[in-house]
Amino acid sequence: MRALNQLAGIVEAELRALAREAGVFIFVVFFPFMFSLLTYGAGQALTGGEASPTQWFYQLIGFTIMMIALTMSSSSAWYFRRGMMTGRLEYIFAAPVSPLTAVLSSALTSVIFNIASFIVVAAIGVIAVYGPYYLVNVIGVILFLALALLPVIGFNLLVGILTIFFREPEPVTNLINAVVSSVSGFTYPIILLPNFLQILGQVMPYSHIVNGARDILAGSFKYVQLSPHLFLLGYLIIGLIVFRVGEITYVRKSGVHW
Amino acid sequence: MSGRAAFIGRVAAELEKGLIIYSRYRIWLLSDLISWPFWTIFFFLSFLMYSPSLLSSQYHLNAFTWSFFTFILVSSFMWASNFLATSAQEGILEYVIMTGSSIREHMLGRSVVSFIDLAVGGPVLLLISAAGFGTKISVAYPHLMLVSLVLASAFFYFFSSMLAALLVSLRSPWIIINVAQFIIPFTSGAIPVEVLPPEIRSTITYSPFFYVIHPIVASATGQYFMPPVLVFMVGGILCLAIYLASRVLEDALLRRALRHGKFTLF
Repeated sequence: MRALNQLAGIVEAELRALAREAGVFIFVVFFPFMFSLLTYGAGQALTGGEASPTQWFYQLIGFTIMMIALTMSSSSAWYFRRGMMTGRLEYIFAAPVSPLTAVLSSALTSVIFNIASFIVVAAIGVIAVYGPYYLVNVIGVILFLALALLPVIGFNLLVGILTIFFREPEPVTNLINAVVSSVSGFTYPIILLPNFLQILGQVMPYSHIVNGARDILAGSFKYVQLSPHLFLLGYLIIGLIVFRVGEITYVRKSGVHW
Repeated sequence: MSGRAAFIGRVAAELEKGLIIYSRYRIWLLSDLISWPFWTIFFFLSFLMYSPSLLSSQYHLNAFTWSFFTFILVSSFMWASNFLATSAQEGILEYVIMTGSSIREHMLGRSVVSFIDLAVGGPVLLLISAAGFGTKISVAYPHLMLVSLVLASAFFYFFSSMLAALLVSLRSPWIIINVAQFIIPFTSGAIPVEVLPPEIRSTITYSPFFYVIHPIVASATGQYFMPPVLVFMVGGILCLAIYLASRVLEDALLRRALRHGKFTLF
């Protein structure tokens, strides 16, 4: 119960901090539109005007989930980095809060923030392509994402641990983001990739998330598509274990804190 | 020390600083070298998803490779614009001004990193395209390509200085830079003009960036939309204009900083 109170407290503080940065929210909402319209425009040019709105929708949802994946994958890394730069981390460690609670709170805030931005983007996209009748499917996607993003939290913890060892979050997240973006089928079917990259894409959680979200919005989702997500929860378990091992190792090495 | 010698000393110091900072972050170079192939795949397929058949056209593969080359060039210099805001936020800029250095000279230390990024990232992109997609990389007019690269590098160095002065007081200038790095190249000639519909072709010539971006792609494909002499002449005039604009903005920024005690143009 105490941990839950701490988690709620940190989430509230993080959301307040995010509320002061409206520009970030606008960017997260604007970016998928900008990029998908850019590629759609190029697609129109390349096909002589035969690019379809459903292809644009495919990329719009893909870019939005990609933004979620990228910001979530790096949220723990940046949480520690910013904490170290501003001196906030010392206060967090001085408080009787488990580091895991602090990191999970940050990840949870990231999930809430990203789902909020997804609702805005998906609602506009659904109305534009399928019509307002399909808006109800957005609610289904919110429920789906709440479950499907759990493995990403595990992935997030793995990236956080890597950052602690490499010190700088940007090179680590830059590399992971590049791999995740290119093999997960966010903006094109992964069948266009070489075989080994297709396998890599299917092993990671993101291709299952983005395909599930698209299918729910288009009304073509089948419950059998949920089955990989049960296995993908393994990422959450592995993430928690690696985080704990990393925490113990680092505390032992540095003596006091992270 | 004469004024000229002092200027050369300050420039050399800024260049040395940029190279030292860059060499400290070797993990960055490693990360970039591994991530570029993946980003190349991502951008290629995001565009070509609409027309996968183009993956079998050598002409289009070569043209799109050079499109993404221009993206790397523009992106490398655009991110240098973030540097001034960071310097101001960290309180470094006041000390830079106290040393008698200028904002543009200070920017040079960061821009040298942009040049290195382009020098490493550009060839890596060409290699990846050749190895990953089987592209036969070719340049129709090598001499014009050389002129194009010099012109574009100079233009975007001055443009990033100008943008840096405009964005210096923003808390999150990266938002604008992130958006602009995509919009500027891909709406100004990075996408080969000949694949665009006729009405768009004439529209993009109104973008000033067209005259520094289009020559790179056109020198590779051999398909200049206008006579090369005209394109380079307009590009050269724009480069000079952007240099003058960056000087005016820098002076204005410095005057306001001395008068109001903070770095902002607004």
